[in-house]
Amino acid sequence: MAPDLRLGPRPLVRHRSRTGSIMWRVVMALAPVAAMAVATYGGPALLVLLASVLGAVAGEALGGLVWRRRTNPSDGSAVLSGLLLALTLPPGLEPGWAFGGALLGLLLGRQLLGGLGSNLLNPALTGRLALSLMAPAALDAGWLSPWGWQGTTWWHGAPTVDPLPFFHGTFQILQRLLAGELPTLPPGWPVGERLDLMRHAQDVLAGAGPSQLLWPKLPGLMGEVSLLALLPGLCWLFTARLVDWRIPVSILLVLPPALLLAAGGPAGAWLGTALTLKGTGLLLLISVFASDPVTTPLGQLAKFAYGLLVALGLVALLAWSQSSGAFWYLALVAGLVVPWLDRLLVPRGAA
Amino acid sequence: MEGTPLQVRATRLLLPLRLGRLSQSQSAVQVGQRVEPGQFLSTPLGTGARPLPSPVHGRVSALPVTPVTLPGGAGRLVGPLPLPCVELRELSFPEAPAAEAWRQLEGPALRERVNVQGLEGEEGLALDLELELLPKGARLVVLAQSPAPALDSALLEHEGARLSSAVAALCRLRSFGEALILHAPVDRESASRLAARLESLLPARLQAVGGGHAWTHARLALCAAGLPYASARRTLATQGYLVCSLTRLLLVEEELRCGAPGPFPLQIQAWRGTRHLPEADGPPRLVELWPGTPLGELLSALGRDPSQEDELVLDGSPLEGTPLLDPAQPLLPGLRLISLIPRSSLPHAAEGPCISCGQCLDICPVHLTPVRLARLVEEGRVTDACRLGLEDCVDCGLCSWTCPSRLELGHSLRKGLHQVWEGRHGA
Repeated sequence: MAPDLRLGPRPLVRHRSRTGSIMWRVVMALAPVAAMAVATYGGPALLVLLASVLGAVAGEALGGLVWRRRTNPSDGSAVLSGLLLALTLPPGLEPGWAFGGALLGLLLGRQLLGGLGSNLLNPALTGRLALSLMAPAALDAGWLSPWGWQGTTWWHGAPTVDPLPFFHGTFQILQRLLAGELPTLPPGWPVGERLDLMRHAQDVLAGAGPSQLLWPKLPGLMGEVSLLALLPGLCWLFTARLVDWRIPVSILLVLPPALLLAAGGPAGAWLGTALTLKGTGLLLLISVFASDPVTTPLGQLAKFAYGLLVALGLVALLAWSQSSGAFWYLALVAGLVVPWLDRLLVPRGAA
Repeated sequence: MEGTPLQVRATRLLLPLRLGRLSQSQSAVQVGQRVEPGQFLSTPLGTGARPLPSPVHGRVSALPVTPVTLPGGAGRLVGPLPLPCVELRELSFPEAPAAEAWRQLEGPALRERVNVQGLEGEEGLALDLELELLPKGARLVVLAQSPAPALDSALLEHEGARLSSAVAALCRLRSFGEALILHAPVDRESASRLAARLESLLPARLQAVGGGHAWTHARLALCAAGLPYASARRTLATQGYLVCSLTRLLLVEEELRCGAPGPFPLQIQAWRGTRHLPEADGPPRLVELWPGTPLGELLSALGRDPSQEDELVLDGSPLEGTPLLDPAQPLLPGLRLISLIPRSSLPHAAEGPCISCGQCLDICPVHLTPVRLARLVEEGRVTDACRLGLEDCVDCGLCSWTCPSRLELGHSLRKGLHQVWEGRHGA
């Protein structure tokens, strides 16, 4: 045999799956969403995407240099983190912020905590959190109208505002009108009788109908562009077992009854609108962010328990939060209980 | 037919004077001397040593000291040992001995002769020691399993009588409660015929085990059949099993029929082109060869170009096999399976850290957390690892096989199990 033959302990054959191939396949699964976002929001979305990916790769490389850790950009983990961060950002964000957020996410969320496999926090969501702390105004100013570039050029998007607070405000106005109060109306609202105002509020809320989930009509984050673009990739991830089914299934089992229970509460009526506005992002969160193997428990029971916690947190955030970024951080916070869940519910073998 | 053996008739045989690990022998022949089948080539020295009879007609051409990898069960040595050998040339192969001869033998005589060289059990114990350890009413577990169902089905069809004869002999040596025939992936009909043959000897029943990886490992097959097994706690024998693959049963039968040192000729399976488990690029072949045949001659007979080194040869299955690196390596009794795998499928060093993908948990047949156990063992916390079920590990290697980061999880667990053994038996 040739002298360069390398033999280790048995087994001497291995499954073809590798870390890099897993990462790149997840990237491929999410590529349609990114492409759809770029098509919908125009050139600014492409810049955000590129800046985020470049920032993540730079953060990985820089972290490797600082902490003298071997990093491999070709394994796709940094590219995936950059892509994931981009999907949580508004499409018109200044590319510099996207780059900086990704860089910080990889440095603080992964390399500082020990590198790939040792990070307690999802690097993409860490980057998102860093951006919301450092540049909340930039995030608020980054909204674009879907297909707003039509009539101008694809390279230029059409700025708009975050729809979630707007719909949440409308909902609050409708609630007060129904309670017999006359709330202070925001600029641009028609001045008229109470009944007219109620009709106007209902018309506004009707704009966030279920079709928003399938085809983008209202502004959203890049990853919330359309279920149609997201579902094929998710199906592939599950059928190829690249994503463990236990966490999404446990969330989806708990979520409907929890939503029904919450619907009887004070914010219950708002839940439907919130779901239609954030449903696509919710699915992305459940299937990808909350199922990130590195930041979720190892054991099967622990995965179910983790899914239960996330589901309950999601209901609470949907019912009471009017921030577009709030429920992304849920996966970040839930990651903190993972070591505890793993210790508590670790598999102990057949004996 | 797929099950028809490929007959390999070597131009030279290289027979180590010491087939067992403990036996010491010295040469009883000289260079240039002609030998007949059955003529002793060695003189035993000390306890456990046995004389080595010549399997063929031939002439002693040399008495070299050659690196030899001894085949065997899980307890086999890793790497070749320099052993004194007899090299035979100008060979003439005799017919196989008459099939009826062994039946004349009685129990006590059999018992003395059943310590077959190269017939180590799944725990690396000699067969007679396994039989000694077996409790009354133990189960005889027959693994009707191989990489190719058709091959074992053919084996059952052609060798059914010999297999039942081997079981009859074992029953005379030790009483068994029942014979349990694990029959995946071999077809149920062929396995049923064997069970029907055995029913006159002892209660026999069939049990299907899952396909997949079960055939690669006796302990995995036991787990798949729902039979409890804990490697570090006890041996298979003390848990009441004597595990025999079909090939091993044939070796037992041959040994009892022909006498030491084992079956002439050997029948082994050769499996080529296994790039990734569980996919195989082709069915295995049944090969008939004589003990001492150099590996290179088998490879030539299988159509491998000796000048090409793109394949690695393993003694055993791809999951648990030992590499045979030297083409001059003699193939000896105890060998059951030769796997030829492309070098391109050899694992590289660990490619990265664990990404907690959980694939090792999903594939573990005994529901352990290999990655965590491996971490504990590497940190020297074997006691903590035992609390998490380390001793239930069946050492199948599937965790290493599936790990996308190419971590040597199975090796770490094996280290932990050895430490448990040492701690227990050294105390």
